[in-house]
Amino acid sequence: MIDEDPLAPTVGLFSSYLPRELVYALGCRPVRVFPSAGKPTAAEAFLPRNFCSLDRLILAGFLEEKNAGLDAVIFADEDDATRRLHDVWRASVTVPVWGFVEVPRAATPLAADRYADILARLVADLEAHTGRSLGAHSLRRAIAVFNEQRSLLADLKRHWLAGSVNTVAYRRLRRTALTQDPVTANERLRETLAASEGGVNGSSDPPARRLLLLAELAAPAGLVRLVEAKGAQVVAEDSDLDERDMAEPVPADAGTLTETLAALARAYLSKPPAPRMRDLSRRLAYLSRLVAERGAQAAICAYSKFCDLYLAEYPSLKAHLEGLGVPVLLLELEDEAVSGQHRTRVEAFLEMLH
Amino acid sequence: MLKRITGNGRPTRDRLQIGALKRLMRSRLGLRLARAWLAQGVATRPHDRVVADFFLELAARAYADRSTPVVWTNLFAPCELMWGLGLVPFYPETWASLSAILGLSRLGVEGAEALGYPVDLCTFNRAAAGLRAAGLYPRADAYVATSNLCDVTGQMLAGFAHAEGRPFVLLDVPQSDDEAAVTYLAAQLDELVERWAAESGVPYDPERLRGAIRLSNQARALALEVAALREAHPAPLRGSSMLGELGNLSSLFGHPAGVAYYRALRDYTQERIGRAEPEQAVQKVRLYWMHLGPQYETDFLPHLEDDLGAVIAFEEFSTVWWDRLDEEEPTRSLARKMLSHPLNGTVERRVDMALRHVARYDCAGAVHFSHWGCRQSSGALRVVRDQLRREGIPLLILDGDCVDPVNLQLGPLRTRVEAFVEMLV
Repeated sequence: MIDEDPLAPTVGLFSSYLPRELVYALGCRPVRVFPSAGKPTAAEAFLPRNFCSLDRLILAGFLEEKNAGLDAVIFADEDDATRRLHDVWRASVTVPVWGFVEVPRAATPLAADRYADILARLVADLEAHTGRSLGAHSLRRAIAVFNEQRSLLADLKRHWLAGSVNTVAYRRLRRTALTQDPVTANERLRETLAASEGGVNGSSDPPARRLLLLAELAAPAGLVRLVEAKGAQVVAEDSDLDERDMAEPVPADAGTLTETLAALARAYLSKPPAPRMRDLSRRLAYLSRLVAERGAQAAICAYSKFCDLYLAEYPSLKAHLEGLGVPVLLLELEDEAVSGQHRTRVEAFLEMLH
Repeated sequence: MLKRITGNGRPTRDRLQIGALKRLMRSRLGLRLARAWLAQGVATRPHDRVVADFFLELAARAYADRSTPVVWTNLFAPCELMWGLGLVPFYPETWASLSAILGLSRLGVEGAEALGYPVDLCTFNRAAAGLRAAGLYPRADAYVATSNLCDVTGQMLAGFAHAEGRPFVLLDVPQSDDEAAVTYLAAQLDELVERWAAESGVPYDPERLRGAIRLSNQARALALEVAALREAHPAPLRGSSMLGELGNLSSLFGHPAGVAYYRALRDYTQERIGRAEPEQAVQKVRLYWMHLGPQYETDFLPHLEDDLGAVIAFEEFSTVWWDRLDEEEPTRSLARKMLSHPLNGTVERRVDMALRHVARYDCAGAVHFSHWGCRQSSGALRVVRDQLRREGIPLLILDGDCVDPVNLQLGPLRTRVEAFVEMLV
């Protein structure tokens, strides 16, 4: 735990399937790696031009800023692009890699057991790096901190959906939760919730155009601003920033370290599935629920160009959502900016929904 | 070659040709005609005839014969398991490759675009999706894919399975190859065996699986002999004719045709060496070829080999990388085989293999043909190039497309390869 340690190492994580609790319990500040570069230019010497543009942007940020405020990173076996980024990273970036975690692609008991073993090995590696040792009590305390954060984020979502917190502020706070130490982030969440109490928009009239956004890490802020400026309302975002971030509390009130790691493994593998799981039935069922619960009328897939897992899933996803009466627009983005062409396509798409 | 089909305006003649092809693929007579045609022009060497017969037999069972379940799978799932369980494997990527040979790949690629597949995805898979939609692929009773080495195929197969309401199994392949990883993957293979036995209607026969393992080992021993023969100077085989070996490696092992193929190839190679008649007459410089190559007819490879005198002495995907399989522990040894693939894990494994092959086959340089859309292969090429360069081995990286001839820029490729060979010579 790092409550009293301002010098705690900051560790960047590359996947929403990596338990932040575990890193935090070992005295580190776990943060999700977001791209910091505006353009992928710096990465061009290291990654092919037709490589996932999100990964190219992330690498460019580290090449431009050297360590980008991180003391180490932990990779996960997400997809081909992450595996190759891991290769290139070790040859080009000075920030050390503290782990390459083979997160399983199923939520079965076999996969959960495997993941619990892998997490135990990650603990051993992190103990070697940090010089600390992990006990069950520390891990349970860390889980409690993140469970509290999940509860606060759930409240925040209720406020956002009710209209007392706007989308920009909502997304900024979600990002804060992923990129700051959890105690500080929780404090900010509590403050925001206290300030927004009583400010709930009581109108039950649904807005004219309710949108589901789909993205890998997060939909670009510029896109969110654009669609809302055009009179649409974002009502759900299937991304690591929002719906695919683990929302359910991890049940770990008691037990040994091994049992607690097993609980973490089960919980993370059971969260809303990303395309990496190739579990289309579960993923489409979850998206159907999201569409129904939020009354989404249309969807925009804001995917990074050359991001294979998402793009190869797209035809199935499009067919499914259209079958639910939800038209879908695909944007393939080179960077965080929304180009003039993308803007025109979004405007035409939203007009079509009238 | 079929006339190219564009958008919605399919000419009647093309529709008729596709219809004829669909009927051809689904009839025994049609397949016999195809065999006769292949023997005339394409499959002239003994081992090519074995492979042609194998794929035609596979086609007959997948398209025309409805008695055996057909399992669509990707290139890295263990074919021994399919043969050992009495199933017929169908490889959409390999058949996309065959479609390129027949001049049909554009049809598939354009069809995939109409289905909503983004244009930057791998053309092997896009061609496969389009050919399936055109009705040129056979039925599927189930789907299975591995998670490693190619994201797109698994995702695509999951989508097909979902659309058809068929079972889909993802084999989650770890990147490490320690005993825990072997146990995890072997357990998934065991589950798959149980599930298929229950769902396919084909009872599980342990002896049949042991038989497939035995055949795989026999083919492996012969393939290793071929690899040893290819050390010879001059190189006995024309490397461009070996650039489709991945299709054989992924489907022949565990089937009697695998033994027949590698025996024929070994005998043919020995004979060429014995007669001092290499397939490629002019050999000025030896190259190690990484990844695949154009599967369609192009002037590029003849220019490299015949005009420039560069011989592809060995190919990355001709490597028999795995240890002998254990009949008594079939799933565990298949798991080991899958995990030990040189392109699984970190890029250093691939580099180590390249260094070994460059030394073994006495190559002066290496060429990587970067197929458009293949992130796993081309993503870390900067690291590969730097590590080979440190060992004094130049690497030429060529951007192209194995399946779609539209994406092969012949002029710039020729210029680059000419400069590379000139430097090496």
